[in-house]
Amino acid sequence: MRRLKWLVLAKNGYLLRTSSFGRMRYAVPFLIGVPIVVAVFVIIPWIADFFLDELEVFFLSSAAVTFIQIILFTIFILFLTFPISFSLNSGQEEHYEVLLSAPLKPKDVILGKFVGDMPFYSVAVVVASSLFVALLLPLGLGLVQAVMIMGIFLLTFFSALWIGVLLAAMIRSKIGSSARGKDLGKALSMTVALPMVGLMYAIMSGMVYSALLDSGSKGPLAFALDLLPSSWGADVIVSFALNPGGASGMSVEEPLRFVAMIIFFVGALWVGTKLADRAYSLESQSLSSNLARPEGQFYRTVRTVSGGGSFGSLVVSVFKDYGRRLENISKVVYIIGLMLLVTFFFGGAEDVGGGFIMLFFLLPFLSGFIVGEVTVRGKENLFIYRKAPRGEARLVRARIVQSMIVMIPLTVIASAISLTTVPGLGTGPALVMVLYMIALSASLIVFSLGLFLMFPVFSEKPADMMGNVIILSVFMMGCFFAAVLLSVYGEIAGWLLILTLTTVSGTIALFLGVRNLKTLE
Amino acid sequence: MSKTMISTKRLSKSYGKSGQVIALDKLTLDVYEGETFGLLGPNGAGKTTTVRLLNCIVKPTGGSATVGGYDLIENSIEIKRMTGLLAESPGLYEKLSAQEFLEFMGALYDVPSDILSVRVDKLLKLFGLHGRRNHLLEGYSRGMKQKVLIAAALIHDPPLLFFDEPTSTLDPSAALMVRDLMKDLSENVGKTIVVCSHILPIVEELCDRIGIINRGELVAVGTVDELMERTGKDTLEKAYIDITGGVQQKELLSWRELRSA
Ligand SMILES: Nc1ncnc2c1ncn2[C@@H]1O[C@H](COP(=O)(O)OP(=O)(O)OP(=O)(O)O)[C@@H](O)[C@H]1O
Ligand SMILES: [Mg+2]
Repeated sequence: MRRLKWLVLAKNGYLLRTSSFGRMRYAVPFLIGVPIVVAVFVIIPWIADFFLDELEVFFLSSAAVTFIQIILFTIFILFLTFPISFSLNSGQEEHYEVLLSAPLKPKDVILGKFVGDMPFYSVAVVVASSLFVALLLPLGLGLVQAVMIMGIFLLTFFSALWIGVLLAAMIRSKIGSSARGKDLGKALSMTVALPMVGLMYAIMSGMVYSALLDSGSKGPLAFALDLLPSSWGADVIVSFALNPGGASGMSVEEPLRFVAMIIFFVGALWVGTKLADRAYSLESQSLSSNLARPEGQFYRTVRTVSGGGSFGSLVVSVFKDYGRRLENISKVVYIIGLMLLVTFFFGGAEDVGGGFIMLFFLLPFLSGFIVGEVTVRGKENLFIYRKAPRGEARLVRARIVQSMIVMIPLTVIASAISLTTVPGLGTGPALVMVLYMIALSASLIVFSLGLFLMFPVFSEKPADMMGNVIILSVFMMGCFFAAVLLSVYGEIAGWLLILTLTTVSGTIALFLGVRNLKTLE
Repeated sequence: MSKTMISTKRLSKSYGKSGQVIALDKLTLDVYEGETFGLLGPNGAGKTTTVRLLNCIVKPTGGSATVGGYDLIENSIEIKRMTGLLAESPGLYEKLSAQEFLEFMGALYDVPSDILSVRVDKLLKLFGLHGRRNHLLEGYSRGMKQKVLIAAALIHDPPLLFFDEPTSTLDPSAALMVRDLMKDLSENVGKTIVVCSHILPIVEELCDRIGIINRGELVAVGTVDELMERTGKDTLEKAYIDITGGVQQKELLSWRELRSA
């Protein structure tokens, strides 16, 4: 009997994703499912009951449709970009050769990836949708209606995920043909998320929301949203909320829209598999060879700045390997993009710029992304340094210098921009603030390097990198709260506290990190 | 007898939390200055572990050793300075060109820059990579990378060299070139060389003495002739197989027995 190849691949994908659960991995869906069911049918309705009046008012308002449209749209985009981002970034080259030599069709690979990813992501969607259903239950929602709402969420998600997987595969096979292409993929994977984050900020600051509301006649944005299947479902959900109660509360229109969503998904699936065999080739790719560009003024400056000699050469080498990786550049672009968005949406506030405060929480990300690279080339790469006399110390010093050369100019630019949004700030205080940010980012570099050496990350996946970055962000928030408490003694005391805490903890982290680096085997 | 270059006493290494994997078990061995010493043994025997220990890349969990008269734990910096290592699965910077990588390695070992640039040039020519010296390493084939790494191990011209499977990815003529290079290094400039390899003819030709490791234990040391004499075999291959436990009689095709119709 022939096995279904895509099913084999899907199972493999599932096992890969759940490997950290060990032997529990098959029980994972149930472990997550049972609490959800309890929450949906018992806990949340009980809570929602208290807000019944407000809920009814909300669903009667015209805001409801827009609100739900945006939620579904967010799910749609999120799951469209996730697989693209993951797959472009993943270093699956090794698995790849294994797949190439097996009797497989491109269709199997893509379908396998989709089905294999499905259970993993479904959890998030089921949580979101059941939260929704749970909120609506007290309104007297019928079972059929509840199931259909869940279905709408899942269909939105399935369609998005499928299109995402498909796009990812195509982009990969188009640009993955050279070393440069692979870099490009990794770079894209970060920046793909940027519009998404922008959208989230836009929603948070209520811009999209009001844009949709204001236009009694539909604006272009609302019209664009209407074209997406995610929005077809939104109307259904709202009309259910307005006419709850079993099948009786349903006109012809709702089932029709629901069916349209199903048709959209099945159609996408069908077209996709047809397209996959043609547009996506499993063929082994030729590796084009890139020339190293001759050393320009920039690297000559770097060499001089870091003191010349063999240490200067070291910094330059580390810098070249860093700078020639597009994904590093894209990470930096990503954070800078975020900083600009933040300044745009939170800036111009009455008091000392909200944008400037937000910068505090973005700096850890910037420093983490710059420094996190230190161990991703693997242990073997670290052993080059271990083998050299005092190699570890040189590595640490070279990395600090290199990271500062990247980080400090960026900090200066970002804080300068966000300070322009603070009304009536003199040049003197602004200069002090910029200097302060330079000192802070320098100590953050030391801190992140320490963290990444204490808990080394041996893969390029952004998700793996996030662990340390989150530690750093939480630390910064802690500092910030401490500073707010301390600011009864004046604002300056608070600022200084943050800097002191970061520097001291950074030094300790670096000390522990270097110790770990020396014993890593 | 000449001076000892490497001397280990009950040197041991185990991996894992409670040391479940004993990679090297009480190795006691002397390697003399100017000698070429071959380390043989089955996969997972502990050859690479030995080399890593002697280059201060991993720390021993037992025993002691000196390299070039320096203590393995106390004077690791001096040891690192006087050894060159071609690692088994080495890391390199894919985004550097061959020339840039060799300059980087030279900087790591504090080779003065005037000597370094000449040396990099000559090594690249020797390995036939001069024409592609400005290409990034990511585009190199495995064997080409291996050549760059051998050049990198030589960049500071150390008196003691470790080669962990130097020829396993090289084409036949490059393998012969590397073999002759090791021979030259040993005969003409008196380097001490430790080489791990599974390619017996090369080992046989190059090595003054051979040590065979099996499951972390040194089970035999001697010249090729001594090993053959000890086992009563007429080739190194037969002697090796005899010492490491022989070929087990396995049903090599039993895995095919249940065939689908
Ligand atoms: N970093 C490590 N962590 C845990 N165990 C290790 C590690 N490195 C090696 N080992 C174990 O130590 C033992 C010896 O490995 P080693 O690499 O020294 O073998 P080898 O003789 O070089 O083999 P090969 O001929 O395959 O290169 C093996 O059992 C291996 O699994
Ligand atoms: Mg080995």
